Amino acid sequence: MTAEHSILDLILNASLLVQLVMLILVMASIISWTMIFNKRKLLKDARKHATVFEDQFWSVDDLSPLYTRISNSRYEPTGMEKIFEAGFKEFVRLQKQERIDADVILDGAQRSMRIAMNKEMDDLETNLSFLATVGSTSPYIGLFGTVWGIMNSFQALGMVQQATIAMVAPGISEALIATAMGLFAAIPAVIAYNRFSYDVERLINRYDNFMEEFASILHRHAHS
Amino acid sequence: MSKGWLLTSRSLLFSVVLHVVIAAILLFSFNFSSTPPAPKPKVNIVKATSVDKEQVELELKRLADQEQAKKQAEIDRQKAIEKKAAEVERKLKQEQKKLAEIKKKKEQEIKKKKQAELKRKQEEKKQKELEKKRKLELEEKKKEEAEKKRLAEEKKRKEEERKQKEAEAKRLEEERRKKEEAEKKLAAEKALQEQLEAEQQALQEQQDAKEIDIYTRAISRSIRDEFITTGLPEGLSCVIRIRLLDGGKVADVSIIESSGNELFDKRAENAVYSASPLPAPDDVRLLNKMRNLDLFFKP
Repeated sequence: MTAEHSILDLILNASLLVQLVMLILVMASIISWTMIFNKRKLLKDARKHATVFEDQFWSVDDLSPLYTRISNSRYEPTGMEKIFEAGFKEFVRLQKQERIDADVILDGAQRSMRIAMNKEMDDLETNLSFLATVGSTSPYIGLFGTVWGIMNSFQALGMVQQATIAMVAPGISEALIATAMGLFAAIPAVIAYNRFSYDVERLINRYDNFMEEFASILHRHAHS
Repeated sequence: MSKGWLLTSRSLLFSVVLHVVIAAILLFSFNFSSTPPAPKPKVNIVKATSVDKEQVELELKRLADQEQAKKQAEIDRQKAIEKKAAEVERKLKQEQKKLAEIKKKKEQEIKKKKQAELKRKQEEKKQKELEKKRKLELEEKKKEEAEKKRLAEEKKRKEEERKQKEAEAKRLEEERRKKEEAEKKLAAEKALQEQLEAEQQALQEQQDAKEIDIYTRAISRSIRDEFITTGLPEGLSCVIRIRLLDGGKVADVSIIESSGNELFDKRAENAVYSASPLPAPDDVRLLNKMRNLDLFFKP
């Protein structure tokens, strides 16, 4: 047995199953970090867009030019814009028809806004469950690798007459790397999951508030 | 969609780079800390140079001469050392002599001291013996006194014990007497109670009999109500045994004493069945007494 136990040696000397576990964990970690970066950017953009749009919304008196600009824009509307677009479109469409009660118009507009918001919510929450899964399962996967490695090293220990700590220690050390990797993958995933779900919830609250305010404006329009 | 993919691939790149960096840092630091630099093995390096033969011979001769000179010097040195050694030995002998004398003197002194010590010890021994005798006498005296005291105490103790025993016997006697009295009293009470109970039971039985009689009469009446007399000669009678259930329901009917007329018997049986439930007491104790009721029936 050589005295050198660098991490690389330990990984390369590990049994096939433990190596597989490590590979899975590394993949999980890479994917979860990809999602973390991705989500962070998306949420940041969404927040920025919401702020910009709210400013625009409250600064104009007449909403129809805002609507035409948004619906003719090159970019696909996102977040609040989309909710606004859906609500306004439905409102105008129903108002054009004769003999329709104001309450019915408002109901329709509100319904279409609710649908648009649900779609937005869905977009924001995609992939969050993957982070949660990585956070909760990768320690177990790592633990599994460790247990397997320790089992093997003890089995090897049982075959010799005189056991020394030097015979098991490298095996255990090698097996423990799997746990370390599991934790390494899990900790950022859990932190990111909590952070993002909080952010998403706040954003949705904001959308909700906007929707109510917009509905009250439409109410005023419909009854005037 | 393409924008999303661009973003995703950029994030993926970030993530991979992050992992590579972390892995590199880990590998580097772990190697650095865990493997101490291996000690370098010591090697005897042979330094070799080539020279020509003549020079070698010359050198050899020079070396031999040097050796010779060294040997001579060594021999001289050894001689000088031997001389010195002899002198030292002489001195040593003288010293030893002196030492022996001193030793002798010391031994004599020690002998004297020992004798003095012996004397002192003997005297001490004598004194000690005297002391011992004195002590022994004193102790004996003390012992005797103690013995006397002990005997006196023993006597006292015995006396007390005797008294106690007597008191105990008296107490026991008293207790026995009291117990007997109590037993007698108890027996008397018991007898009284038994008598009372018997009386009560008799009274109860009387009352029960009365009540059973009332119920029996009521049962007879209700059976008579159900009995069909048409086509039967008058003056017939029979004894019916009725087994009653809770609430007066009839479980079983049998004729114990026939009237001689089969039709009469049959009709009586039927009448009992159709009169069920018969009037029966709610009291279970009473009902238990008339579970098997023998009824003299005469329409």
